[in-house]
Amino acid sequence: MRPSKRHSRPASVERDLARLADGTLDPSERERVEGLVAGSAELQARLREQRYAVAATSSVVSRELAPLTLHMRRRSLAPRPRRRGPLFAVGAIATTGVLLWTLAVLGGSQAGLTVAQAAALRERPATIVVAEPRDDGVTLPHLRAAGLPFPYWEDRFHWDAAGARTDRRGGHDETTVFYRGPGQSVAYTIVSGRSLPSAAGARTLVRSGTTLVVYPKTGVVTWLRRGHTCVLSGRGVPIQALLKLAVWRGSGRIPY
Amino acid sequence: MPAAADHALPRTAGMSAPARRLDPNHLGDHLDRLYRAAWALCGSREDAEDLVQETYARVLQKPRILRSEEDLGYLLRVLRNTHFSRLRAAARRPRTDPLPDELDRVADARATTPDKALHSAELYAQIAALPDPFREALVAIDVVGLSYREAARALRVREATITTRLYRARQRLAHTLGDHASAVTPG
Repeated sequence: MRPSKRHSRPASVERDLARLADGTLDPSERERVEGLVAGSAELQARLREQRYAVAATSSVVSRELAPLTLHMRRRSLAPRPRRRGPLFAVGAIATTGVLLWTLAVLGGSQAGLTVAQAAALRERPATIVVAEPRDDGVTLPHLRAAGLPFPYWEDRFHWDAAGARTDRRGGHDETTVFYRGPGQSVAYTIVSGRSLPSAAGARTLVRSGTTLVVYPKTGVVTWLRRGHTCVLSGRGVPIQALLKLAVWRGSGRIPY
Repeated sequence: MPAAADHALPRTAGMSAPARRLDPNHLGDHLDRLYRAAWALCGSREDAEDLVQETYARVLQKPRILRSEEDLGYLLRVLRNTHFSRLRAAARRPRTDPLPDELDRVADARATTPDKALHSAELYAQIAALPDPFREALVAIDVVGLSYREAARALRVREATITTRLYRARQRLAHTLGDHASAVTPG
């Protein structure tokens, strides 16, 4: 096919090929440009180059997320929250009630960080986006606390990781992942550093080789992974469901 | 999962918006894309983190009014300007010896496998090595995901110009990556 006058200008050809390669070429132009390309081995080679670069770039950028440290650094720059309206006040009062109840039952008045305070993070909002693992992965990518990954529960238990947050209190880093199930949610917090002391009302049991501390009244389960306290907390979630989640090791691929 | 939407990197719509104040509470929504852009500009993950943080610090210094511009396009422009400011400042400082290349090959702890880590580092390094106008076009459109119109607005050039630059950036990148692939392929 003979090139049109428009394509006698190299820059115009380049622009058409660039847009054809990434699919943004106007549909009214597409047929014409594809016809030109079909009739020219040189244009076909140039289009292949464009598509190769597009594919190479998109394959990499689609899997690169900002590291957790950068999320934390950005948050440190963020402005203080604005004043909220009456609806927020109602929600805040309800949340405060839940927190006070949890703190009272789990002994939040003790000095230092407590299980109660860690468990209360379930009422806080997520601030970090969580990615899905590839293929048959059993842990969430790009997210670790004290070197420990968080489990990916969606395939096995249908709990979807909805987001995460990080906090630092009493010399401990607390990293929390929020999982959503049907009408319910749980928060999984890994508290770095020295293990947290058990509070009153706890029962201890061993399941699948893991020693678990259970607080039936408040729906909280704690255990240790490599010396760091893990706190699994869910409002209205049966304790048996929490226990099942807590001891799942992904066929030995989740480090405990 | 919610994160999947961000991974898909859809092209943004390119719609114009009236003058409005940039909402600091939503700046975190763009962190992943800005990080990728910064990495592609700097060629180094560590420098990219610093660059993004400095960009956010600049933006948050005072209220920002945007006219007919999307947040992401505006942030990309600030990121680019901050990058060049840092380069100018670095040029005035004494230079230190760079780390040996071999260290880059074990640096990516977050990638799924080491070969993917190397591939990411290699690609970002090749993008960072492109001439400035070409690199900026490719970063704005292929890395950040802006539409051609938004990219042209963010970089203050005509849409036709940015399209031509993008073509040439991709062409160079394809040649470089092709050379690299053939150099490391046995036989």
